[in-house]
Amino acid sequence: MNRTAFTTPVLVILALAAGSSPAATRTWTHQDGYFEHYEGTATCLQCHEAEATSFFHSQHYQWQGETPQLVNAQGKRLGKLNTMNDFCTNPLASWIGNAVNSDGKVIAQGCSKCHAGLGAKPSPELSRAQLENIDCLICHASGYRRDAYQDEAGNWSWKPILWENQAGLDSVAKRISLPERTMCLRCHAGAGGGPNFKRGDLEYELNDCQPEFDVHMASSGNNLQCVDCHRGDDHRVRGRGADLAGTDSPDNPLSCESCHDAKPHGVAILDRHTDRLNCTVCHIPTFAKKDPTDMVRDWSTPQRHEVANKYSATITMGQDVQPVYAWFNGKSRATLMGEAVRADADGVVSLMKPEGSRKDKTAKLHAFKLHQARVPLLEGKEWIIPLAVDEFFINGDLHQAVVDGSEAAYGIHDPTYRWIEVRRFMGIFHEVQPADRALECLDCHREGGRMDWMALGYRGDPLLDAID
Amino acid sequence: MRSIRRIVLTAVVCAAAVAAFAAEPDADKPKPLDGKALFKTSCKVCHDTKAAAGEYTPMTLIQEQWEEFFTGPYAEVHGQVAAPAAADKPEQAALKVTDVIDEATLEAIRKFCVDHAADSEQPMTCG
Repeated sequence: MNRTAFTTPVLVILALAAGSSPAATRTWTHQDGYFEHYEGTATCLQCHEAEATSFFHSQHYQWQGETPQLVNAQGKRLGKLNTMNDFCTNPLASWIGNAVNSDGKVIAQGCSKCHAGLGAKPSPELSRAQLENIDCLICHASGYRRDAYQDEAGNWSWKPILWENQAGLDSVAKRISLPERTMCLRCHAGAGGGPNFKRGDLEYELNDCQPEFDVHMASSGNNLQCVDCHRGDDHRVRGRGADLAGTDSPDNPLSCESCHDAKPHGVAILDRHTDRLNCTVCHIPTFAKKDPTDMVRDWSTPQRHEVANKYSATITMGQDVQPVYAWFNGKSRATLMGEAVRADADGVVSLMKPEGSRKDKTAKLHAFKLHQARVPLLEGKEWIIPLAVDEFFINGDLHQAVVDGSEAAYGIHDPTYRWIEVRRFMGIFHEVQPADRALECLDCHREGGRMDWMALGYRGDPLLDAID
Repeated sequence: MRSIRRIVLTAVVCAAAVAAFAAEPDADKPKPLDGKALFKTSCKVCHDTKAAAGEYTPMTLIQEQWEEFFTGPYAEVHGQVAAPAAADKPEQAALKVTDVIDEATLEAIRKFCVDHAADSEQPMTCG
């Protein structure tokens, strides 16, 4: 009897049944011989004090850093801790604590839910307490989860959900690896209040996607981890996009050319484009391909959600969104807290805007998510006011959210304010498409194409100009 | 001729295998049991917050601990515990927890606990 007739279907069945379990290929260190019991960060510090010290100075811990790419920072150290964004605005008034609705459900836990610390705010001064506040496991231990707990004195902190199960905690604390996509995406895809709300191009789908979703991270393709591109020295992350105030690795920037040639196509007409076009323009035709992303957040009009029993801003979502295009030379201009806003020609204030123009030969066109919002502005001073959002989510008291935000940010208890329109340009660098799904000539070079040539500083379509 | 028959046979078996994996769920097939609901009705009765028997939710243990628990200690411990539902029914007083939770229910609860354990992607308290 010929075996082939039987082995072929058997192999097919086995292949179908096996699937691909990430756990099957996972390798961890610290399984044996490193420590017996995990007793908080002090356990890690026994061997890794130098690493903890380098992490302490990083953006992921300080939430602020050097600002050589901001043209108006004047040397200040800035970051999400002391700037204002147009999503949940600023963490100062909403750091940690359970916001519980009238059904007893926790509807928010504060911005520190995604800070790599155990609940204390980061201090610029290095201390033992600050080192022990670092939560190494949140990025390095697969299977580690934490929750907010309040002690008898009323202080909140993040603790492992296994804190009463030492054997389970020990098991999880010994599954140490470089950060995997899943770990990074827990915060970076969940930012802004929901899946893909904030970034637009960072979705949970990236954890296990096809090349058509992202050619770099596809599990069945290149299978790159986030750290394959973003890993710098001493816990400093590479890559900034256009809307980060502080920079972790100003001297070690990340760009497509870090891996690809500047003229990668082997086709002269395409390679000519790379002088003035960043790869993202053609290779990211749309973003938010699976989970919709927050495109407009109007804080001035609270929305009640009956089922969830909570309030939110009015949020307009977008899916499969076409980017906007703007010149970007690597530098940005920010609207800073405590400084009078300066509106653009159309009356809208740009909270973060890329620098560059057609005449600037260091600038290239890039793809952006353009996020818009309505936020409060302090009359007289013309300062943007962050909102204290946690209580607002529970009771919808918008005025109190502004008052508490004003108090936390500026120490002003009785602000007079009005609402203004703001926007933010957010670089789009993920959900990169392979060549056969990139933009084609006529996507841009035709009547009604996706480029607004005049706004970009051209007289019209440069191809038609050249032909004429 | 024999090789053609062999190829045809191989193709048929492969197609059957693929169809078996890809088949739509049978409309008559019973719906899978809701492990979350069963955990609430079967486990939380004795293992709610501040319960004397200790509070247990899926995220109390890691996946490995749940697997281990359901292969041995569950039957050992719960085979000696009176079923709470029997408390006001004297004729059922002898029933133990293991007598009232059938195999399918136990499997659904096991799956729910493992899928939502403390080290799973979605740890749950079960509400």
